Amino acid sequence: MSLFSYREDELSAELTLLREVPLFSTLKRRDLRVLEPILHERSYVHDEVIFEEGDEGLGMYVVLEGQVRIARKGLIGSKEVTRLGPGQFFGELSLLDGGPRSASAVATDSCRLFGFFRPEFLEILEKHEKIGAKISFQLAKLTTMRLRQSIQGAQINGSL
Amino acid sequence: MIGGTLLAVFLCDWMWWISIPLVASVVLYYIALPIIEWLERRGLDHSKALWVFILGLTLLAAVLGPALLSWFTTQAYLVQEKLPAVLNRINETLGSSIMGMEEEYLWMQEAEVGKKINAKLELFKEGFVESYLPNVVVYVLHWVPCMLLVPYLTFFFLKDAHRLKKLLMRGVPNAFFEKVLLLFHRLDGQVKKYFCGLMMMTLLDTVTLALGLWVLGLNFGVFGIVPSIFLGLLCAVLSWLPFIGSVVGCLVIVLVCVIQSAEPAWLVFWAVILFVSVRLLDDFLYTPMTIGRSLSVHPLVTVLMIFAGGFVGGVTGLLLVMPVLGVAMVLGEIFGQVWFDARLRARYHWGRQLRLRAAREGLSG
Repeated sequence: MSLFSYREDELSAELTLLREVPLFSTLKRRDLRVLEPILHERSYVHDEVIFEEGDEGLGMYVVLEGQVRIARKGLIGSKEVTRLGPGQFFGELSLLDGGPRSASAVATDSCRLFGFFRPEFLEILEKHEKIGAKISFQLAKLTTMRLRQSIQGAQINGSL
Repeated sequence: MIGGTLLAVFLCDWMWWISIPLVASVVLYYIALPIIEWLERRGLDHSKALWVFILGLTLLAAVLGPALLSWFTTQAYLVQEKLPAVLNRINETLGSSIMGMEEEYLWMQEAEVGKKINAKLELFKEGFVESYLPNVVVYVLHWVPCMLLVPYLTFFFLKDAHRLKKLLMRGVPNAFFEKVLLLFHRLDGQVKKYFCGLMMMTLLDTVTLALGLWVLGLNFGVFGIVPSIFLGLLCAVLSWLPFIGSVVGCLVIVLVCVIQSAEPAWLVFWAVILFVSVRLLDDFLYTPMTIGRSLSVHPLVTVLMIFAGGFVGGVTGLLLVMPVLGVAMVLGEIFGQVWFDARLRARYHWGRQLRLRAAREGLSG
């Protein structure tokens, strides 16, 4: 393999799948190759905890396979907020502010995730501004979309 | 932690052919990384930045190599020419001092201390080439093949650092993964800062020593600017090894002064004063300005560890004990923060049970 160029036909199955994820959908193959060494693939079994509410957050996860339940602590036990499937992502707030986790994530199925973490994201922003800008823009767009959905949900429930 | 460090030093000494190149490569990796990152911020991708760095290093070696080689050859010739006279001078000074003491103390006269020391020095002078030089040459030669590994390992650390880190992190259980990754990033950042500081301190030490030696050289008509810079750099790099490095650096300067000058006593005196002043500047001004005190180990522990490392692992132990202690402290900190977090441990055991249950599913038919 040439040291100065990337071979287009060698994109791994995981990276091909990653192109389907809205967050990375605007990235070119070449950009995905830059991301490949910094994405951590993790496997979880049914009921295994991915992170807990209040944990020191480090980054976000993209679901490659399986399902993940997002839940928040209530007065009586925990309350499920949503379920996420392949192509969806969670934990993005910690990627942006590095703050504590606002909810818990548990695998409801055997699942495979890609972890994308803050220190490496900051490195991308510093060294590869274009890729960083594309991801940041998509992240802002998708977070805004989620915010609008929750505002609409709250309006329907009458809490706003 | 100290026991673990000494055990690791013992193992490193046993496998010196890989442990020393590995430690040297990691040090070089952290030294080269800021330059490559700077090139990346200028728009080059990682591979191109790495190749530009290698090209720059090769060009530098091609320009400076012949000049340094010629200086070394001249110094080696001077050592060969002047060593017998230097040894004679040492012999005379030592002889007159011991004779004076023998006149003062009867027990020294009875023990014939002066005569015995003279005999030993004569034996050293006569048999130096036959007895010691072949051993030195063999010792240097048996280090050459393993040191050739250093640029090779450094290149791959620089090229594939992220992949190697990913590989390491793959072995961490899910429950501890985020915490370990977070601590790893923090420590990696601290080590990067430490090496940047070390480079800055080396530059300051080199400039101060080189200027001092150059001024001394002007007064005594000895070193020019290039040998002053080279000696300054050599001593600054040697001072990376705590305490022992400074002593060796000072000895090198004294030896060069003795060889270079016809009347070396005053030159040696001023060179030692200069060296001590630079060390004081280094301890009280440069180090707090650059490295800071955050990563430093208590001086008493440092000295004891160096002696213990030397006792356990000889020369290899002397060289490796501090880096190994640094690694042991880092691993100890990560282990302490992760393993003693009861909630994380509970999650780890829960995850293991779930995995076992998932593996057993369907076995009963």
